[in-house]
This record gives sequence, structure tokens and C-alpha cells, in this order.
Amino acid sequence: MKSWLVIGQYVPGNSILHRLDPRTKLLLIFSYVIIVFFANNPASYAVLTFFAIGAIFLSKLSISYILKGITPIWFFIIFSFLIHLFFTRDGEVLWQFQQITIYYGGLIQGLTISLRFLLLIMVTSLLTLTTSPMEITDALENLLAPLQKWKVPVHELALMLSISLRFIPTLMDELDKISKAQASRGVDLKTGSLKSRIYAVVPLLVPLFISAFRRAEDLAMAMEARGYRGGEGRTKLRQLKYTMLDYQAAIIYLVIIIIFFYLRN
Amino acid sequence: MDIQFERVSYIYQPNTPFSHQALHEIDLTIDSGEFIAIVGHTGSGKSTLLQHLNGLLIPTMGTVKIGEYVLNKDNKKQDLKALRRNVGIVFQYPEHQLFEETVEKDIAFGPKNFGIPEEEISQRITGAIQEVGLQEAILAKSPFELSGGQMRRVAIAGVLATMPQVLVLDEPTAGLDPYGQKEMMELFFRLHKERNLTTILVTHKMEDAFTYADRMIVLEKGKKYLVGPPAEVFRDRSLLNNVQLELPEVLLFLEKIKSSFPFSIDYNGQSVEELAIELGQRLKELKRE
Repeated sequence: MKSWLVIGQYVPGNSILHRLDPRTKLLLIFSYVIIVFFANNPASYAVLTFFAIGAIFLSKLSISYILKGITPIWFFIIFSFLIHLFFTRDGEVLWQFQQITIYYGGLIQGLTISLRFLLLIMVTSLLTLTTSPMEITDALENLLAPLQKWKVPVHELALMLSISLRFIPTLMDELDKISKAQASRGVDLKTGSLKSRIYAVVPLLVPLFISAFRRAEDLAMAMEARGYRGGEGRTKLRQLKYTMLDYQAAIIYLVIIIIFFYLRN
Repeated sequence: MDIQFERVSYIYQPNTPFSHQALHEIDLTIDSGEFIAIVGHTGSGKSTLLQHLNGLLIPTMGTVKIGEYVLNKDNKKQDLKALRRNVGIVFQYPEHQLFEETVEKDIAFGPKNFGIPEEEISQRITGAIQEVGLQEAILAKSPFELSGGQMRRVAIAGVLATMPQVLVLDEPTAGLDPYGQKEMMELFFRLHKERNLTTILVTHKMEDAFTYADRMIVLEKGKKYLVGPPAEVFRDRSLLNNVQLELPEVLLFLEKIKSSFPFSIDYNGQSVEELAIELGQRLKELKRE
């Protein structure tokens, strides 16, 4: 597998973050994502950054690993930074060269937008790094359960989600195998004109789709053979349970949020 | 083409928590025209090793030399097409790589990529389809309406049509019925002789390694465990049992004879029939005494 594909892939462990109930993590991170957009001065950003770094510290994953994991996003961050830097006309002029003028406001705007992105991505990837896909879907199913009153098929949605997550690595492996087999038959994906490269994808996609359909059929058959009949009356092997750790995390998070709203303008 | 591995190590996903070293300083030499069997327990590095043979993987450390090609990490950007033309790989379940509308087009895919002229391609297609034991009528069909065994043969024909000098086989008979397995191995062995190929067979089947290989390489946890002619490698049963491998049935049977009768039969390449006759004679002698 390509190394950049490791982004957000679950790393098993036993840190505090790993042991938190997935529902707690989901709720905290979901609210964090919203709150990031309320930050409007250096102090409030500092609080959010402090929270993110603290969470990384608690996950016992190395910061360099997390930063490397978001390599594909760097381009996006830098791009939006430059856009704001060059096109915001606000505040003092910092630097001028021919057509290009850089304003103080642009610099600040660019920096805050990039920081926002960085925080969002780091914290959300922390969720997937410390929570297995199974746990995430369990948590979603549990949190969305009240919607069943309005006939929303929560269990089926969660099952679909967990099956698709479960099969991402499998299909990646499959793709890797197929592309190696075709590369051995002389397919060249890296050189040649755009047209020839697009054509070169066909020998990869056809077998991949066929194998995906075959797997889907096998899986459906295996599930039926084991008596699966949908969500009704189905019990869980692993029950989700809030522990002391979750209450502590929630309280600390609340304190941080209160400080945050106190500090922001 | 001679193949040489010099202290080859390979690490999957280096510098991540998933980093995994699949090969440890492998040294190997495979001479042109040899039939080599690579055996080992699941996860011993067999598949990783074979992907070095046409530059699908480049060693993390060390060097692989194939003919005039030198593959190492300082030499990553080179055109590997000519190498891949000369080294054909039949992967596990090769039928999963079929994609064209007709069998004919699928077999033509490899040769076309390697720039073989059209007229020659059609010759090669008929040649390859006969070699794998299929009728020419099958050429116009879609590969997806064939049976599993036929699909396997078509996929193998697709590799043979590129006329490689080195043929790498990754468990080519897995999932076939016993008769098909035997037929398939006989096919590869015949091609090996006829075209004077260098054949590298990755297998779980000790019988196949025993019957066809000139030399065997036993891998264990990414390291070279044993190398030598099958007769030598199979001499020490406990050494193989240590790495969860077993002797071929014939040898196990002879060992059993040795332990239950006052005589033993030495193995030097007899067929099952010959062994049965020999055993009958020995038993008669025993009775006379």
C-alpha cells in the first residue's frame, strides 16, 4: 500500500484516547469542528491549539507521524494561505513588488485559515487514528438510535457504513495486486500521454469491479447463512459503556470550551 | 538470464507504525535455465521475493541483478518495460486480471503493450491457446463466460504470449482440481524444457517442488533457511518440520516402510509405479526368507 494512504488509518493502542468511549470521542470532535469556526482572536486559537496538542499527546502517537499523515492536505492548506495572502486587501501594506501587494490583513487571514484547516484535520484524523471503524459505526448507530422513531433505518445505514469501511483496505489490496499483474503485462501508468494513461486504467477497473461484486455476493450469502435478518432484536457483542474516563474527558472539555468562549471577542 | 540477489532487504511502509520487514538480507543466485522452487510457510516472504524479479518492488537495501538490469534504491527511475517483457509473472489466481471483451484481446494485451507487431501477435495467440490446452473456438468468447479452470488457462496464455525468458509462477495450481493441477504443472515443466526457460515456482506443494525443481529455496520469516537440490533439502525432516513444512508424501511413505519393515528403499527419482514394484519384490524376498 502507498504510504500516504495510511492517513487516518486506525493504529491499535491502549492510550487514554484509545480507551475513551467512541461516542464521547465522536461528540467531542464533532463539537470541536463547529467551535473552531467561532475562534476570532489569538487567545481563542491558542486554546484550541492547546486542546489539539494535548489530545495528540494523550493519544501517544508521534506528532511527526500525524503531520506526515496529512501530507496530501498540505497542498490545500498552502494554496488557501496564498489565495488569502494575495487577494485580501485589508490593513497596512506590508510589501509591494510590481503588481503584487501584500496587506497585513491578508497575512493574518491566511494564517488563521491555514491554522483552522490544520486543527480540523489533525483532530478529525486523531479520531480515526485511535478508533477502529467498528467502534465508530457502533457509536454512530447508538447516537442515531432515537431517529428510529421516525422510521430512519439507522441499523442498516450503520451496517452499510461499516461494510464500506471494512472493505476499503481489502479493495486497496486487490487494486495493488491487479495493478502489479497488469504492470507485469506491460501496462505503464506513469508515463505516456494523458489519453494513454486514462486507457491504462481500464485493465485495473474492470477486474476491480468484478471482484467487488463477487465479494458483495459472497458476503451477502455468508451473512444469510449465519442467520442475519436485519437489525430488529439484534444484540451487540460489545456493549458501549461510558466509564469514569469519559466523564472526566467531558468535564475537562467543557472547562476548555468555557475558557474559549470567555476569551473570544 | 542469470538472477542475483545481493543482501536484499525489503520493508513495507517504512517509518510508520505499520512498518514490516518482509525480507532480511537475502543472497541468492539463480542460473539461466534452472527450475527453482521457493517454498515457505505463509508470510515467509515468498511473494515479496518474487515481486523483485521484474522490478515491481525495488529492494529497500541491497541489489537485485537480472540479466543486465540492476535494481536498487539508487536506481529507481529506469524503464522496466524491457525487463518485464523478459520476465513473465503468473500471479496467484491470475484469472482475476482478465478484463477484455474477448479471450483473444486479453491474450493480445501483453504482447501489444510490449510492442510486438500485429501479425506476430495473432500467431502467438494461437500458439499460446494451444499450449494451455484450449480450443481455438474459445478465442471469440468473453473470458467471463468461461469456467474457472478455463479462465486460469486463458490468463496463463496471456503471460506465455509475451514469450518471457524467465517464467515466475506464484502458486499457479491453487484452487484447481487434482487433475488440472497435474496437467498445469506438466505444461510448465514442458515449456521449461522446450523453451529453455528459467522457471521460478512459488508453491506450498512439496510434491511439486520435489518432482520438478532443480533446486529449492526454503524461506522462513524473510530469511533464507535452506537452499539446495530437493533430495538434499528433504533429507532432514526435523529441519523442515521446524518451519511447519512437511516432506512429500512419497518420502514420508518410504520413511514409514523403513520404520515398519526390516529393509528400506532409497529414493532416487522413481515413479510411484516403480516404487510399488520395488516394494512388491522386497516383500516377496522377505517372505521367502
